[in-house]
Amino acid sequence: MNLTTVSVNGLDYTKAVSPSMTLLEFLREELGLTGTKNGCDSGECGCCSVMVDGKPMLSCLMLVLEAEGHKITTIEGIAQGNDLHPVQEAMVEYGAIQCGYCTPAMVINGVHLLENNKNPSNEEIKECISATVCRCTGYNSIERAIHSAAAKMKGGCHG
Amino acid sequence: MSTLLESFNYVRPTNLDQLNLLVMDYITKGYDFTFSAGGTDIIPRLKKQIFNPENLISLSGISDLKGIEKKGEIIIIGALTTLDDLANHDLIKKYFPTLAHAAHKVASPQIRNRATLGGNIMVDNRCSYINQSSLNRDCHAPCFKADGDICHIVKRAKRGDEVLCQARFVSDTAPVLLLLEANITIMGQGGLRKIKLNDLYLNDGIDNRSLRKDELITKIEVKIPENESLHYEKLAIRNALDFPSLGVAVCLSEQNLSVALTGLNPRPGLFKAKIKNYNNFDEMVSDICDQALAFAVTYNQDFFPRAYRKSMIPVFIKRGISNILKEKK
Repeated sequence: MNLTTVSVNGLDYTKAVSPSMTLLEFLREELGLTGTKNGCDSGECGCCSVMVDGKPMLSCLMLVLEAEGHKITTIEGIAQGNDLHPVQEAMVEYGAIQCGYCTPAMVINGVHLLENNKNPSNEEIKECISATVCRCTGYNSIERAIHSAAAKMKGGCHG
Repeated sequence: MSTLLESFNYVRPTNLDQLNLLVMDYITKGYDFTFSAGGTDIIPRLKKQIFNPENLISLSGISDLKGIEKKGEIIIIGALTTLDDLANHDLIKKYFPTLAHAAHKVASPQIRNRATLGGNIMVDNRCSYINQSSLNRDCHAPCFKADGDICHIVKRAKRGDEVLCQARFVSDTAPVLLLLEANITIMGQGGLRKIKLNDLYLNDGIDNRSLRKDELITKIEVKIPENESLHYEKLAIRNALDFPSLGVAVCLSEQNLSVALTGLNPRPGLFKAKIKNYNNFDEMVSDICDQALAFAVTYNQDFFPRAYRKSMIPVFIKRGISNILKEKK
């Protein structure tokens, strides 16, 4: 067992972990942050996306010991208290959530895109969600939601 | 507790001196170890129990190996530079737009944020038998790559064959770096040595890299080309995530045409033709296509049938050339 301190959503957690534990297992099982989902567990479905120092990465492909010294943001850290992030609001508004399993990852990737690109093109949105698998929505509603969130974040009207 | 990963000892040195001492210690004690850069290919292989090292040496804490700088006419890329940083770096976009494009074609945005250039050129060869879960593999006898005595792709293969294991080379960035005549610096217990990237690769699917156990790549050096134009095209089922079923990089200058292939044989292919040796341009193109086709060994170990992958090689070469000529106009 190794002792490690990981910063998640602004709080430092110190735990004794097995070196073979992934960040995903740490978040879900040690911290109880079950918003981050486990899909394929081999880096193909994108479900387990979290932000590491502001960039989306796959928590199933990262050992928790590698996360030491980095700032992790999970879906639980995206909303400010009860105020949803514009991307989350838009996902609700556009029916971009059905079973909800991919939603945390879609939001994490969407938020990262809009933080770095205020006016994303259709192609850029498609690329941003290209590696997050959704079997319900057919992706169109998710694309529309991210578009609308971009417009909202710029201060423009909806849609 | 971890459900999928086998247990191993994990160490993360924070500078090259620490790393050297650690490797020396492990070598003298005869410990089994492996290096991990971004880990995006190693972790799935550990989970699938394709290999089970006793010690994992993480390189992610060594900041000396990250970053891109220009020294005269040479661009030096640290081996731990992430593919996302590479694809979006101003120097790379300015001098090597095709390298930026190839880096951008690797896997997915989330993986490119973590995966490194050194890891991509060192990526382990893949095959439709070995890169499966251990449950799936347990249904067959272990193959050569799994220390067994059979190949499930080439049934007649036996020990002593020239190419024993046909696992494919799948790096997207290596063919472009090969055409740019990149040099790599290798650090090991004997100190530093510099070799051509092409000399790194062997035609062996089990391990196609000519590095000793204690050696790792520290930097990649590429000379800024004077009047060469490049193009890279990748065949894959999806735009995101897939390894190349075929990747063709083409480089055209006023004197030479060169082509590099990935996704086929255990090692990448590299072919050069001098324009002055041919009567006309078309003759040279058809000769280099013939060379590429003679080199390419395709088996049904991919989504695409072998004949399709092979027949796309001349198509991609010609398309690459016509794209380069179009851009020049």
